[in-house]
Order: sequence, then C-alpha cells, then structure tokens
Amino acid sequence: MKKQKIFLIIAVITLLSACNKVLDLQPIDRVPASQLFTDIRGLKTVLATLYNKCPIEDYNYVPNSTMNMTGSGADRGGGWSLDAHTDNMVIVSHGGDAVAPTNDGYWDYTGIRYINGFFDNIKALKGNILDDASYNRLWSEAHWIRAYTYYALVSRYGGVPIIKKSLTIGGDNSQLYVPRSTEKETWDFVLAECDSAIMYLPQTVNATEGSLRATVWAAYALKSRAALHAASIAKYWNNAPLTGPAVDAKLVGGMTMTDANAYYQQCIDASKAIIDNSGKALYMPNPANPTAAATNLQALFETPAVADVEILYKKGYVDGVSTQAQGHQIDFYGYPSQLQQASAFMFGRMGPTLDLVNLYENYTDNGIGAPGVLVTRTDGNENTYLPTPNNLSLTTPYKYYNSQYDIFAGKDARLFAWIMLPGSAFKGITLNCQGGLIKPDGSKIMYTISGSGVGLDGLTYYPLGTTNAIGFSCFSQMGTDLSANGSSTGFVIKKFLQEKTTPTASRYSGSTNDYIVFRMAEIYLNYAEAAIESGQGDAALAKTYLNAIRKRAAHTDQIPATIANIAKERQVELAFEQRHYWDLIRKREFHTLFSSSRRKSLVPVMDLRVNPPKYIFVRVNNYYDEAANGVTWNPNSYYRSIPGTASNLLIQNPGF
Amino acid sequence: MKKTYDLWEYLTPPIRRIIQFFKILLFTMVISVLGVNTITANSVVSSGASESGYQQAGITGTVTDATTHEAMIGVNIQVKGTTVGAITDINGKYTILTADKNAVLIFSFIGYASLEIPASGKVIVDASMTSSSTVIDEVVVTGYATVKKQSLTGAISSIKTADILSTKTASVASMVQGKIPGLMIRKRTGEPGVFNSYISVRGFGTPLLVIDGVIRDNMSDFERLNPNDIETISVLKDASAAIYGMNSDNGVLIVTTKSGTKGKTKISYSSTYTWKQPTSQGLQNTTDAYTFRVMKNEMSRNYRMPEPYSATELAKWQAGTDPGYTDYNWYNGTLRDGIGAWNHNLSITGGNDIITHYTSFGFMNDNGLFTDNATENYKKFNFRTAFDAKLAPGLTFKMKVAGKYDVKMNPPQTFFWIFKQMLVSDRGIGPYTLATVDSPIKHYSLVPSENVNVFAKTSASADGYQKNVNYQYQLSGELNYDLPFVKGLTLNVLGAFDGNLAQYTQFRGSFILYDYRTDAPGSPTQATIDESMTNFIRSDVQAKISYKKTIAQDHNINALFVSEVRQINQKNVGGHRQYDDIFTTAYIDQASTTNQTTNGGFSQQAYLSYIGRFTYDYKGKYLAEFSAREDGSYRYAPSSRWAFFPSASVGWRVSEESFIKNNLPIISNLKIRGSYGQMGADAGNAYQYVPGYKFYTPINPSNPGGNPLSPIAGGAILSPGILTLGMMPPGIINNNLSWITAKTADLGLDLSLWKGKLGVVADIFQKTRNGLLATRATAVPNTFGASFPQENLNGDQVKGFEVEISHKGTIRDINYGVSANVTYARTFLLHYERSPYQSTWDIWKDGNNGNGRIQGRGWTDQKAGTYTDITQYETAPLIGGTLGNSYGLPGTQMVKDLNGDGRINGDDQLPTIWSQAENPPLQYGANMYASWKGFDINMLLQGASLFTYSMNAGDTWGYKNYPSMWSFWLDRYHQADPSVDPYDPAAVWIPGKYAPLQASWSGTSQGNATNQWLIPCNYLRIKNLDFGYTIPANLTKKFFVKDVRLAVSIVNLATFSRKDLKKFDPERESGDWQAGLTYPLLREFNFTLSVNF
Repeated sequence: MKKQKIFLIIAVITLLSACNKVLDLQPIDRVPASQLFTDIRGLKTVLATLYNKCPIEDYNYVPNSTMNMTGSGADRGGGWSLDAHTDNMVIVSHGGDAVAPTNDGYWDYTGIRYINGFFDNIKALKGNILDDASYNRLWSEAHWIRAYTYYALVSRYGGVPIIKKSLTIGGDNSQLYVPRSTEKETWDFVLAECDSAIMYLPQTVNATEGSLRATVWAAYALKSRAALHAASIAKYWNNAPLTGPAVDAKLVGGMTMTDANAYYQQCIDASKAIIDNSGKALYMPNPANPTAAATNLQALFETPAVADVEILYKKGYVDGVSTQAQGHQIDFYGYPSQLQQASAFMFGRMGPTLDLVNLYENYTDNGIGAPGVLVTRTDGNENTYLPTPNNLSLTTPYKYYNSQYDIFAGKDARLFAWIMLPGSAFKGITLNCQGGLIKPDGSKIMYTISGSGVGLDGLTYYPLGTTNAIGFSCFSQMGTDLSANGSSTGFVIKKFLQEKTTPTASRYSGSTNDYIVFRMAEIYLNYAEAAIESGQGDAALAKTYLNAIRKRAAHTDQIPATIANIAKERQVELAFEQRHYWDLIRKREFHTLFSSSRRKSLVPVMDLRVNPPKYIFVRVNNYYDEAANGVTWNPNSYYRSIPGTASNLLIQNPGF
Repeated sequence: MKKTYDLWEYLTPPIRRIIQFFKILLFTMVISVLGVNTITANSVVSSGASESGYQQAGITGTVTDATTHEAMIGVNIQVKGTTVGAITDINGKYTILTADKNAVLIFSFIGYASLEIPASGKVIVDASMTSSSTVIDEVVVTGYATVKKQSLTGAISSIKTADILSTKTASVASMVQGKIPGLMIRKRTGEPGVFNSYISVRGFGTPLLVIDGVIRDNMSDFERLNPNDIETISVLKDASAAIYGMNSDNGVLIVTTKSGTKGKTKISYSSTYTWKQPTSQGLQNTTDAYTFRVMKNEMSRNYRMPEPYSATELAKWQAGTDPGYTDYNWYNGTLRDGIGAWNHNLSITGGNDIITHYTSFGFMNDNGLFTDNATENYKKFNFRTAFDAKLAPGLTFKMKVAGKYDVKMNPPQTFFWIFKQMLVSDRGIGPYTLATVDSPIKHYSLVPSENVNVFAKTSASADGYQKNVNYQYQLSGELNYDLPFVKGLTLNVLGAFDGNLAQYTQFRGSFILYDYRTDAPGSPTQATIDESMTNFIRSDVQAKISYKKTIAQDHNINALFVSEVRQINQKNVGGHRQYDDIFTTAYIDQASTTNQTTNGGFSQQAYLSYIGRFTYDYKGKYLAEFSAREDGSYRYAPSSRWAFFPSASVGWRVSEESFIKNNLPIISNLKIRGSYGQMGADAGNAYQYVPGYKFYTPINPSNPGGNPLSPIAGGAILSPGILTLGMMPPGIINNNLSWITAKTADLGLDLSLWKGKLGVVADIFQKTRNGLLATRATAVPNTFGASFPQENLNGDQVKGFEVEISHKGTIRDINYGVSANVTYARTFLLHYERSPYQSTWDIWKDGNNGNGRIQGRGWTDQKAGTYTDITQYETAPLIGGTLGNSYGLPGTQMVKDLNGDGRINGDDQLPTIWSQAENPPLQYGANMYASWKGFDINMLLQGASLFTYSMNAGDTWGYKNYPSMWSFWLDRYHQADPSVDPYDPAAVWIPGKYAPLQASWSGTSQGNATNQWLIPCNYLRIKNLDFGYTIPANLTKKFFVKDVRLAVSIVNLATFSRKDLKKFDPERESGDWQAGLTYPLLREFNFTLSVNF
C-alpha cells in the first residue's frame, strides 16, 4: 500500500508539471520549403501550379465562368468557345444574350503573387540546387507566364496595377495599394516580359524536361499576338469613343498612331523571328486536291501530335473522368446530338452560323477572295433572311436538292474539315439537320417533332425527318416540347472533335486531345496584318503568307493582301480558336457588327409538294437572336468592370 | 534574491500566473495554520450498534422515500442538540441510542428535505422523506468538485435520475427538455438513431459536455447515453463554467453516472414498449388524382392557358375504374401509421464498506416509419460498470467502464427528397406498372414529377441503404488519497481513455424504372458501394490537489489545483467502388475496381491546462469563490496559444442573518448571488502560424463551396499524358489568430419559503463575446493576391433572464408539486466587420448586423390585403419582372409598397421573420407531479415562442410545379361560373382563404414571400404525461420481488398552437427549401414495467 501511495504522490507531482511540448503538433497538409526544394522536382511542382494558372483560353475555359473549370458555369448550355460570343457561333439556349461581353471575372493576382514568389524561390536556390543555365531558363519561363497573365488582364481591363514582386503585409499597408498603370504602360510591360522570356527559353524541349513547357518560340508567338493586339487598340480605340476618369488618365485607350506603328513593328519583328528561325511551317502546305486538304486540316486539330511542324505551343491533358484531373469535354459538348450517349444532355449545341459558312470561298472564284454563295433560290436573291422558316412563301422560287449535302459542293476544304454540314458523315451517322416540312397541301410544320407524320406514297415524313430522339442534330429545341440538345443554326462544330477514336468516355473531362495555343497560320496572318495596317514590313511577303494559308486549303489562285482579305482569312482559318472574339475587340468592330443584329441559320426543309420529295434551303435569322429582337454590343463592353474597386481604390472603367 | 528572480523568469507565463494566484491561497493557509482555536469539525457519528456495555433506551424506525416508498439506506439521524447519531441500514432501519424520550430526531439525506420529528415518547419513529430539487441540503456537481447547494454561488441547475426518467423517449436530451431552467432544447427530427437536437444553455450555443469529470464533447453522445445510468446532470450556466476554460463559454453540461451503492445486491429490470406515430398528420393531405386534374384545368384557365384535360378524360378519372385512371395515395403507401420500439434495461448494484459496484445493460430497438423496415431502424446496446474500492485508509480507487454499440440503417437518399417525392408524386400514377401490378414480379414505375419511384427509393433491396455502426468505449480510473499527515489535503489522479470506431457503408442497388403505361424499361441505376472507417481516440489525464480547512469554526476554505492534459486523434479511411456486370455482395472487395476511389484523413488535437480554485465562506453566510484557468491550445502560435480565464462569484445567504431568522421565519432560504468570469472558445483553422507548401486545389471563385462548377485538378501537364501535381506557396502566415473571449455576468436569487413549499430561482445574465473571427473588410486590395487571414474582430452579446418557480406540498396522503420555468435570451451584434455603409438605407437594412438590432430576424414583403376586383390592378403597385401584374386576379394578396415608388421590390421589405432554425429565444416548461400511495402521475408541459414557421409558397407548397397539390389549396378564390373568362371584370368570384389557383405565378403577387406565408409560432405542448402504479411491497415480497412498477407515459401527447400550425409540428424545423419536408416528430405511447429484486 505504501508503494501505491508514493507512486500516487509522484504521479500527481509529475502531472502537475506537465510538459508544454504536447501542444507542439504539426499540420499534416503542408510541406516546408526546406523539404520541398531539396531538388528540382520540388521546384517543378510549384512550376506546375504556375502553368495551371496560365490564362490559356483552352477547352477548359468557360467564357462566362472562368479559367480551368470543367462542365458548367454560365455558358453551361453546352458550349465553350469564345466564338459563341461572336457572329461565328450560336450556342443553344444562349442565343440573344451571348453576344454580351464575356464575364469571366479573370483577375488573377493570386497567380501573379505565385509567380513573384517563384522568382524568390529560384533566387534562393541559385548556385545551390540550380546552376546558372537552369536558373536562367526558369527565370524566363516565369516571365513567359507573367507576360501571359498580364496579357489576359490588359486585354480585358486596359491598364492594370503592375506588381513585380511579392508584397508583404505588416506596418504601413499603403504600399499594397498599387494604382493602375496606363494601358500603354501595361502593354509595354507585357511585351517587355515577353522579351525577358525570349532571353533564356530554349529552342526545343525534350521529354525529360517536359515537352509541353514553353520554348522561345512560344514567347515570340505570345509577343506577336500581344503586339498586334496593342497596335490595333492604339490605332482603333477611338472608333468607339469612351469617356470618364479612366479615359482621362489613359488607363484605357489613350494611345497614338506612333504607338500603333511601334507595336506593329514589334509584331512584325517577332513574327519574322519565328518564320525565319524556328524551322516551323504550315502543316501539309501543298495538298493534292480539296479532299486531301480537308483531311489534313481535320487531322491538324483532331490529332495535333501529327502536325508538330506547325505548332509553336500546345497544352496537354490527361483523362479526368474519375479524378477531376485535367481532361476536357470538347467531344462531350461537341458531338452532334445524334451521337448522344446514356447521360443525355448538353450535346451538339455549338452551332457555327450561316454568317461564317457564307465566308468560305468557292474554288471557282479566281483571285478576288469573294465568298462563295450557297444557291438556295433560282432567282439569285440570296440576301433575304426570314424571321422564321414559317414565314417562307410558297411562291418563292427555292432551288430543289435531292440531299441536304449537295448545296455545299465546291466550297473551301476548310468548311468540310471544321464544320459538320447537313448530310455529311461523321462517326457512322449522317448528320440530319432537317428543320421542317411543307405538306403536299402547302401547309408548313417547322421546328418541331410533334404532330403526326405526313404520309406520301406509303412513306411517312416528319418535320425533323424522324421522331427518334437521336435521329436529328438540329432545330429540335426550337419548339416547346423538345430536348435542348442540338444546334440552332443548321451546322455543328467539327474542328476539334475526335472522329477516328472515341474518348475514354464521352463525358465531362473525358477528352485528352491537345489544344493548340499558337500555330504558324496565326503568325503568318499576324505578320500580314501588321505589315498592311502599318505600311511597315514587306507587303509582298504579307501577300505570300496570306496565300500560303489559302494554298494549304487547296486554293490555287492568289488574292491581294488587303485589310479586308486578311480579316476574312483570319475568321475562316482561325474559326473557333478564340481569335475572332479578340479580333473584334481589338479592332473595335463589335459595336458596328452587332446593332440589333441577328446571326443567321440555314434550315433544310423537306418539300412534299414535289414527288419524290426534295429539300429546299431557307435562310433565316437565328431563332434565339430573333426571339431577343436582335443583339447589340454596347461600346462600354470593350473593357470589363474592375472587380473590387470599393476596396482596392482603383479607378473604374467607363460605364461601370 | 537574484537567483529566485531568475527562476521566476524561467517559468512559463501560465505557471507564473497560477503561482501568483496561489500566493493568495498560501497566505490564507498560513493564517489558518497559525490560527487559534482550531478544532475538528464534528464529533464522530456513532453507529447504530451499541458501543458500550450498558443499555440505554433506544428509538428505532424505518425511513422510506415519500415518493417511491422504497427504504432509504444511509440516512443520517441525529438527536437534536447532541452529537448522538445513527445511519439507516440497507433495509432503511435504524436504532438510535438515547435516553431522552422527548428527543427531537433530525433526519437528513443528500437530495432530500431534512426532517425534524419529535419522538414524543414513542420508541418507534418512522420517517418518510421527500426528494426535492429545491431543498437546500442537496449536493451539486460543479467543475472538478461537488458543492452543497446552499453554498453555491454560481448559476447551476441540476437534475437527478428519477426526474430524468419520468419521460421515456429515445434521446436523453428529449428526456430533460423543459425540466431545467436555462437549458434550451429543440428536437429536430423523429428519425430513429438521429441525435441532432439543438441543445443550448441560455441561447449561447452548444455547451461543453463533461461526463464523469472528463470533457467528452459530442452532444450526440449525450443524447445516446443510457438514461438509467445517469446519477445527475448539472448545468453550469454562468461564470462557474469558466473552470472548464477553453470552449466553456457556452456553458457546461456535467453528467455524472451512477456508482455502486452499499448494501445487499439490488437488481433492477425495466422494459418499455413504445408505440410511435407522427405528431402531425396534416402533411398527407394531397388532393386525389381526379380533384387535382380538375384543379389543373382551373389553374390553366386562370393563367390564360388551354385546359389540359378534356371532359371525357376527367370523367374517366372521376370514375376511377379504368386501368391507369385510379388514384394512388403515396403517403399511405410509403409511411406506416405507427411503429413499435422496445427498450430493456438491467442494472445490478451493491457492495460493502470496502467495495461497491454498479453494472447495467441496456438494449434499444427503434424503428422508422417506412413500410420497408429493413431500410430504417436503429439498435443500441449499452453497457456500463463502475467499481469503487477502498484500497487502504484514505486511499480509494474508482473505475468506470462504459461501452456502446449501435447500428443505424437509413435509405441512401436524404429524407427531404423521400418526403418530397412522396408528396409531389402524381397520384394518378401507381407504384407498379399497369402490366405488372397484379403479377408476382412487379416493375417499379417512373413517377412524375421527380421521375423516381419513392417505393424503390425506400426499399433496401432496390435503392440500397446506408449503415452506420459505432463501437464506443469509455474507460476511466481514479485514485484518491486523503493525506493522513495534513488533514484536509487530498491528492487525486484521474485517467480516461475513450475510443470510437465508426463504420459506414453506403450501398446503392441497381434497379430499373418502367413506363407506367407501356412498361418500357429505362436505364438501370449504377450499383455502387462506399465504405469508410473512422477511429477516434481521446485521452485525458488529470492530477488534482485539494485542501479543505475550517478555521476558527466559522471560516471555511477550500482550495484546488488541477493540471490536465487532453489529446484527441482521429483517423479515417474509405473507398468507393461500383458493380459492373453483376452484383455480388455488399462488401467493397466484392465490387469491381472500375472508377474506384479512396480517401482518408487524420487530425490531432492537444490541450494542456492548469486550474486553480479557492472558495471561502464565513459561517455559510458569506460565500466567495475565485477560480483561474490557464489553457494552452495546439491550434495557435506558441506566442498566442495560452489563454487565462479568471472568474469570481459571491453569494450572500440573507436568510442566515439573524434579522431574517428572527423576524421572518417563513423564509427558509434566501440567497443573493452574483458571478463574473472570463471564458474562451477555440476558433479558426489550426496551424495558421505554420508556413508550408500545400497541394494546389483550385477553388471555384463564383462558388467557393464547390459544385456546380468543378475546377479541374491543380498542377499541369508538362509532358504528354503525365499530370505533375502542383504545390501552392504558403498563404499569409497568421501569428495573431487567437481564441474568442467571452465575459459572462450573472445575478441571481434563490428563495425558498415555508420550508420549501414555495421556491423561486431567478437569474439575469449577459454574455459578451469578443474576438469572433472575421476578415478585415478593407484590409488588403484584391491586387495583393492573397486573402487576408481571419482575425479576432467581431463581437456579440447575449442577454436574458430565467425564472423557476416551484411549489410542493402534501395533502393527507397526496404528495404533489409543481414547478414552472421560463428562459428568454436574445443576441445582438456588437461589432460586425464590413465595408463602410453607402447610404442610410444600407444602415437600416444592414441593421441586422450591427447597431444593436436583435439577431435572428428575416425580411419579407408585407401583405396589405386582398385584391377583390380585377380593376384594382389598374392602380396597383407593379410586381417586378416584365409581366408586371398582367396575370393578377381577385383573391390575390396585395403587397404593400412601403416606399411608395409604385414598384414592389427588395426595398419594400421589413424584418418580419424570426429565425426558424436553432433554438427559439423564448422557451418555457412546467412540471407537475402528484403521488398517492402507490400511484403517481407526472406531467410535463413544454413550449417556445418567438420563432416563425415559414411556408415557402413559391416552391414545394406551390402546386404549379408538380402534378400534385396539397388539399389546403382547395380553400381558394374560384369562379362561380367557370365558363366566364376569369379576366372579365364581370366574372363572379367565390372567396376562399387562398388566392385563385394559377398555372404560373409570374405576373402576379401570389408568390411574393409576405407575412401571409409566415406562421408566427407559439406553442405549448404536453411533452410528457406519465402515470404509474407501484404494487405494494407486501404483495410482491412473496415473489422475492421488492417492488414492481407499471407505468404508461405519453410523449408529445398534445400541442396547443395556432390552427394553421397544426399541420406541422411547431418544434420541428421547416427544413430544406422551407418546405416542411423533414422527418416527422413522433407521439410516443410507452408502457413500462420495472421490477426491483
């Protein structure tokens, strides 16, 4: 007993002076810098975060949401491309409002903070884990990402606060309130960052280092794109005059023709550096015929790996079906609704417009570059667009076609490569875009599957060709009782889709084909535009580059390098690659293009008044734009509203 | 001197503060040692047996409990004015040796009113003692000690076994609901096995839970205790809780479980059968399939839409005879009217002078209301044992071991959806397809509007189930040593080790829904299985020194020092798989590895505390208590992790003063007490002071919670096909984060008149919290690139009062008592971090969050009357939206245009709603009991006010979205002649309570959330009515049974409230979407048999 008591006394005394160390627990979810940066692999994980934050408007950019999001968001009506905010495309259920400026809320100063911190990280490791060459490369790589980040900011907001080092809090926090730089200063900063990137980035990257990291050509390409953007704004910003304190302080616009020419020159120089020194060229520049050209041009986007010669930078993906890892869903969104699978929603809603289809040339048009006209009528009047197909007059001399496909014969190979046309074949289906029928008695049923079929000669005809829900890919959603899948324009996007293979599972995050960020065709067109707009550079080369791109699409003629021809070529060559939206912004063309305007659709209609029945094609206004009484672009929308001005004390952009 | 100073510097600040505190204590002790006239407190009480050789005249008798008529063991009997005493034996018998035939005997027992009975020459004096919560001799468990109730200075209420057990239901919280002033409880669901009642002390929030001296903090553990094992529950409501330091600011609930009682081994068995049914049946009233279709035509007509059902179609529905045209009541098919449950409890206790023991076993089998009982049920096994042993003189050892195993089954889908499906499913569609309804193999039909089948969703064999299994154990051992060489000095070590292993399984089956009419199959659902296991470990070690001394007879001092280390670890792993082609068994390794995922987690906590307390009283008249606690938390940076929590309380027993004693003998007790203390609560994410790189997981800026927009993984593809995981640089290091501080003040009065016949306990209280977490509104610009860390910025305050009045008495053989209590507490914000106000309107509207407005209010439009004539819309204020009032009809509510701008929008709202969640600010209860011979009756009333039941007219209640309609809508404005255009001003309308049915509410003010859709809640319910009969002992004795009690008790017998609240249960929350689609609370009929051997 005595022992127990002594033990108890000792226990009490020991416990009363319990050790404070029990409180020194460590969190399990973080790694100290000392442990992370023992070799280059740790640094690479931080670099991976910077690449993740790089604002590439790829397949995972949902324009009305933000970067790097899968699946949904405000554009969740089944779309992804910025082109849906232009005259190139309409996304079902996002018609009338979709020409509004994209509201992605991009304001990634967190990313900028990470980049600035990364500079500190590598500086600390220089001479230790990093030799000079490795250090220099990482230094340039981080500058490339910072250039990209500020490029994304300045193109949305005009001048923004330029923050070049990690800020710390404590004491006087007034140093945190960095004011906006002028738009010119910000563009100059972007271009200077590109120059820093150009300094030490390698010409080629190998698999061990990571073959999807930036090269010097990626830096030049970014500079070419950014300089052209800056130049256009310097030249055209006053086409859409804005007023307000931000304008007065030159935070938006406020540049001169001198500035413009300097930027055009930078674009010319950067583009030329790539063209002359990179060894890169157009993929398959001399096709045998239009069919071969169409095959090549589809392959360029379906399997970018085969076209390395044209690609200056691309972004990779891994299958993310079960892990939310970095896959994308271009196929999930893009496949026509005839190919929809078990989880039937958000299919085939991205419809290229008739406006875009109209722009593609015919091969018969020699040396002018005028659009090839689809012949829908026998009287030659191809400029009439009806509000809806129900408005069609039975006396209009429509031209009869035996199939939905015949009308497109003889058009540019790129139309066939990148746009699914009515009646064309894709992955075992024949795209059905029938939008209505005219009964033998002349009454019309349009945009609906309901109603009994119409019998003629023992066959039954339906307005959309069939009542089977996976039997049609267009116009199904125009009525009130139908699924929202399908296109509203009569066309379905094809440019990036997998036709040869089916992605792991055709659903969210299931696709992994690369996204081409910069390619030679754009660089050629950048050069041509900069040279012609400024009168600097070599105008003859501009024409060569312009026609090289047309030649690759099996055109054999040469057209002059005019501003209009270059713009049209950009629209048809770079369609759906996010460029058209920014082209309209930088050249201040949005507000003139969209002023109570309607984008156009082409509706194949089966006419039972003739026997056997034949198709006619009706040019109509797009259902959604018509329902919205046309769409209009407000000039204030050339710049976005600066987020958080109440607390960051920045001068707000005009109109907000 | 210098050396001492150095040592002082060496000590950590918490130790230093504690030492400073004890300097005062030491000083007092020195005085006591030097003090003169130190005498021992009392003479030794002589036992009942004769000590000496010579005979003395004696008095004998039996002491019984006045309520239960059980013999009472260990009652102290003393001859008044002497030190002669005795104690009753295990049969309640005593013999006291006294020569004085006219001796006055004082009977006293803890928790019972003392009795004084003059012997008046008799040699047998029997006594019947009354237990009471207001009697002043009671001992109350407080922090780390027990105190005589009369010496209490804090606001502490307590309740004992018998009073808890008078209500019989599955949750301990419900069993004490309404019985303890200041303890606010609201039951949220009647779902078996769900223990999520809102429990709050004085509206502060969830209190700290202490079981047997150890913080065992999980309120569901409290609710799941076996109520038969509970000896007492104490509620520390004011600064007295500060002794528990960190996280005690919401008050402390102290549960003390039973220990063994000395005497012959006593075996008790009780068994309860419960029949349960929902308290409110109103929900099931949806219109039948035919009526709904008639109304569907009416609502279409009223919205200028074509009528969907033709007269011939309606005639078929009305006849209801053709296949496919019958009515099906989903409610009746899904839910039972009632269900039974069993509860068994067995306990054994006994012991001698050396060792006592207590052991109990409990078993509960509770069932849910679903027709398929396999989907929803709850089983619980409890085991508890306690041993107290005297190892040596002064050295005692206590051990407690408790175990619990429970299994809860419920459907994989939440009840909200099940109840919704049940009530919005089309009653014109049956559960099985027409083709198979009569065949042995039935096909589930696809039912609009939810396009599921609630039968399949509640069937374990179709949709599957969720299963939660817990294996819990709590072990504690305690050594106590009264040091022989310093009288009054005690050492004590307590160690506790608890664990819980939780196993979770969710199995989703594969089933097919078929088209009701064509029997065409849909796609089968994907069968999946999720399993996870969580292991929870808690250890707690306490060392205590206490010292007790009476100086100069009148000065009682008591000092205590404790050190405590508490550690918690939790680890979980889980996985998910799916069944590809065939279903095997519901174990994860039997499913396929396609799309399998795993997850896991680990967390740790550690706390270190030093506690000191010093109490002093002078003649039991002036009372004072000081305590201090130093708490260290693992959560914060070493520089800011230590918190100091001092508190003080004083009491004055006015009734002990001679001017009261001599002049106002009716006052048997009057005490005024006050307390003030500082407490704290852990806040903020742990380890914010530790820098380090974390995995980069992008968050969705527009919806940081996650869905519906899912960010892709962090990291990047730097080489084709390979994801390089991304690490994110450290955010802002937060060294300043610390705990929330709370200051509590309480002023109370205890009054007892006519020897306890009338008792009053009243308190007013205030609790002020500072350092609530907030992010500085204007701290950094968004170009800084990192968010400012949380700081201790906000503050709030709770104010309130509580009163308990009790009366008890005896009329002939009838003992009766009644007590009533009320608690009111409201919360204000003192400081709320936000960006500056832009306008006075801003200030008014945001007054919610500052400037002293009471919290818990919601804003709605105001109803101004009803449109009676369609022409009134010509001048009516416009409803927002492009349609304006274009679909307005007579009978629709007028919405007040408060600011007179001709438009109804958010600027026309007023704070009309009281919060419907959590605990209502005003709660009350009343308890009544009476006993006569073997009969006893006990009734508990419980109620609450100042909260709102809000029907969300725009959604689930709105018939317009669903092929189903609640029948209350039938009381509506409708046309006398349906063939007239409803928009014709000449149309004649027959008034009703509700507006005309319309297929859409766009273009009308029908859907505006006005006070029309709010039901102010005031309710009083008969929470419990308990009627029991104890069969007289002389009958049962023949069967070796000491006593047998039969009891019937009814829980939630009746509810008094507004009429329109009747279709809900006011205590239940309105739940998701404010739709009332939560699991019903239950009315329970309990039949109990208890036997003591």
